[in-house]
Amino acid sequence: MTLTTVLLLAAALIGIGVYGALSQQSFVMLMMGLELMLNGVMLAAIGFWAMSGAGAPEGQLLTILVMAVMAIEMAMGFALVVAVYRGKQADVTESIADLKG
Amino acid sequence: MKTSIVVDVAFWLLAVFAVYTGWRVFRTDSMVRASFFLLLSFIAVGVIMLLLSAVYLGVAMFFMMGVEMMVMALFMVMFMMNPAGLNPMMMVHQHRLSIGAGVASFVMLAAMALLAEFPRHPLPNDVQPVAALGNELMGESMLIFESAAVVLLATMIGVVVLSSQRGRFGSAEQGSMPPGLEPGGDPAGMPDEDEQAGGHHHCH
Amino acid sequence: MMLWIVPLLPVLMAPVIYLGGRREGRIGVTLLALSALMAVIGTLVSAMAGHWQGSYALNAALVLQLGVGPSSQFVALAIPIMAFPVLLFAGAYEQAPLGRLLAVMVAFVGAMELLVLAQDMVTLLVAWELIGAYSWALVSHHWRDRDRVKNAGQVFLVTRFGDLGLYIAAAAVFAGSGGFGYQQLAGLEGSLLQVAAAGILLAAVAKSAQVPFSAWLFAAMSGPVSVSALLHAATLVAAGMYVLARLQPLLADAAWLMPAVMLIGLTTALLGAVTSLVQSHAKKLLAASTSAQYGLMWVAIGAGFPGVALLHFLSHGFFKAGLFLTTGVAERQARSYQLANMRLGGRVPTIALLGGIFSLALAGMVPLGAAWTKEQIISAAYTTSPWLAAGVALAGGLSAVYATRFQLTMFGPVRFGRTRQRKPPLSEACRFELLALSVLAALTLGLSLFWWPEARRWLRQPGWELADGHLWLLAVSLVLVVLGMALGAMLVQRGRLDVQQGWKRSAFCWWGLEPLTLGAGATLVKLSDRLARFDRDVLERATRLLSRQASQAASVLARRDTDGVDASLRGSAAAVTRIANVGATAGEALSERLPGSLSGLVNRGGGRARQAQSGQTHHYYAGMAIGFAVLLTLLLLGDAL
Repeated sequence: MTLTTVLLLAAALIGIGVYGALSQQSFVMLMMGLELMLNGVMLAAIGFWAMSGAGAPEGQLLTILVMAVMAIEMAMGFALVVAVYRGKQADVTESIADLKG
Repeated sequence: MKTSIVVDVAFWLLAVFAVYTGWRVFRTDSMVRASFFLLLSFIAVGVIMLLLSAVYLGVAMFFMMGVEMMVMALFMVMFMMNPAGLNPMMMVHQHRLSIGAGVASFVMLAAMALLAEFPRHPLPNDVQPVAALGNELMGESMLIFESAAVVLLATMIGVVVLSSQRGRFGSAEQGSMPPGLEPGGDPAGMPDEDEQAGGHHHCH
Repeated sequence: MMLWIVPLLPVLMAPVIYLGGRREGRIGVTLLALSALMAVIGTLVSAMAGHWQGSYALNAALVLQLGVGPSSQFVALAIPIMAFPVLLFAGAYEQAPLGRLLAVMVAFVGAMELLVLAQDMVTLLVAWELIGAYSWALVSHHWRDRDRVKNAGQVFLVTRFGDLGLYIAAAAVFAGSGGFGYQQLAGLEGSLLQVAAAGILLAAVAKSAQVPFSAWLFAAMSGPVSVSALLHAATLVAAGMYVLARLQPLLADAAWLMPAVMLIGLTTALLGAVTSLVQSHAKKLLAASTSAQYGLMWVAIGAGFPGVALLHFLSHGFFKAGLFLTTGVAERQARSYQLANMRLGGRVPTIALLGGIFSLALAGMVPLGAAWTKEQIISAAYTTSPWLAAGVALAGGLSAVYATRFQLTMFGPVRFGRTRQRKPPLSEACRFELLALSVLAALTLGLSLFWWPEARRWLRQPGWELADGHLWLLAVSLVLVVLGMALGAMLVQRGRLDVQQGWKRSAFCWWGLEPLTLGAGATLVKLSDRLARFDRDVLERATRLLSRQASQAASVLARRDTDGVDASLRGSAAAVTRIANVGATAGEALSERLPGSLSGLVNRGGGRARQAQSGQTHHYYAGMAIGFAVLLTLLLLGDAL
């Protein structure tokens, strides 16, 4: 377990997350992709904190903030999904194209 | 950071497990199962954090993700037509581009991980991760921590406003309709049906 | 100069054999082919005794050189010895036209000898091209069958793609040193060395059927069974491995090369073993296992023990040729290569016994020589890291699983545990086929001498380091082999591997490499077709037009002489009116069209801009991802810009 291997794992998670976020039609699955990306980001941050940052507490703080952002993103996302579903009975991204030019 | 062979083996097993479960999230037919796979992936990462001696964060990960994925599973059952995975499911768009983007981002980040020279400052032996983090949160970075708290509070309020069924002016379905110009009239500012059909160009 | 006899003799014998095939019967042709091989072996032995050298200077820079070194003489001897029983079998077993088949096989052996004895990049390239061409001819031997020819084309294309690497490497050597010899390769430095190493690696990966080029071996299965035996045991697949083993000491300065070789080898060994495990076609099972076994040799080369790899090549060649030939005999009984139709039970006891010997060797079971060479590879890998050794041992265990499965499904009883249906014994192979198989089995058993300490002392020559074995490593890998055999027997009994589902399906076609290779080949063919068409339609027409215009101009000039004067008067008048006309129309068109085209462009641009606004989240996400990628590339290239 070196910094490189931890970062490689993080890269793999982020890659899968990007795939999910770009390819899934359903809102909820799309958010799962975002979650997976943030998962990789947190892992990378902790890896840096533990192996390259000499245990500076700011590293852990950064990770906590990422976690908070994740919670915010999830909560707002679900609220928006609920609102959209109420208004349009839509649960896939294709069905809201109001902004189409 | 010299790690023992046990930790190494554990890390590799967990890494493979995390990637595998992360991959399965987008490959199962059952939505509930997908959210549980995501939970497993997060738990594997949490254990890796424990191995990296970020004790507080690893444990926080378990709790937070456990609850969050339960919520996810509930939403899945609410919104998806196929929560139990009884028929095959593959709802994707721009699939090739996504695969390309995923692979490209992995390759790029992996190249950075492999080729960049990162400074090597492992954890000191007397580090107390939890105590250090507590002191940081309640000391130096108090302001940041508090602002995060306020943002979270704002999020809660916003979520309730967005998703509540009943608002000040009636239920949620009516909320998207402006009131009429005279009582009981048509909604103001809404285009007529026939007008909507004719005047628009659609470019594809 | 005498050394040139070794490769040239079989190549020159090939036409004789081909013509002989039309006149003589089966026996005559086979005898001719075998005598050619005997002659090769004879000249080789005298060449080693007399330390012959060969060189032929085309000019000052291009000198073709041949020479015998420790590793090259070993492989050069091994190839005709392996080819001998295979050709004997081919003479007894294959259908007509026998003359062509045997001729090309003998020529193939000659080209391979050239490759092994080569001492410079140009000779290597010549031999490399020859074996590519011969392999194409052999795989498409039954050329009346469309599919076989297509498969041969695929084999040719994939290995050709790898050949590009060798050309690049040769060019790099020449650019760095002004010569083509192997010794100049060692003197390279800097980026040229990296380029040469990368080129050699690409060529070796493609020829040796390692990941990601492994799938062409499946296509090569459309050749006759003796051809498969020859390709897998002694020639084509071995070429890539041999070139690496030969050049490994010279490429020591390229630090990344050996870890890459080890990684590729181990990946192929593991993936190939699983691929082999789920095959339903006997020859494809063996093909995937060839990739896996060569992967093990690659690990040995990467760990710095090319000698160990060559020893494993020797033992692998004998048993793999034997396995292919027994498969051929079994196919004649069962009328197909599908494993589901085999289960010959006790009906061909002799063949089953011989096949069992080969399968045990494939499984790496003590006391056979193949087991010792595999243990050597594990010990060699252990010198690099215990993880690598564990991977190799695991690959060995997996090979025990599929070897057991092969043996039991081919020659096992009809169904385990059920009452056996008594079927009459089948007619076994003919005498010569049995002779060939027995020779191979005897050689496989004879290599058990490797376990004898005296033999090992004899093997330790300069440039041939053997890895020091550890007793516990041996114990671990043997336990894995025994476990693998038990697992294989269990899987066959339950019939678990006959159904393709999920991961098995992806493993079945080389983890998706096979369709990928097919697609790439098809696109390439289409592209060349397009180019040919372009050639025909555009370039040819252009040349025709040019020639037509030239002849027209000539006739015009001739006429110009006769009616020059008055025509020039009339012409000037006409020209003036024409110029006036042109001025009028062009001026008008210019003033009309310019604003028109501008407005059209603006219109189109507006349409495009509107299209970008699709209102779809995922389109915006994709745009963000692309923008992010561009930003990252800019950051990465920050210093260079």
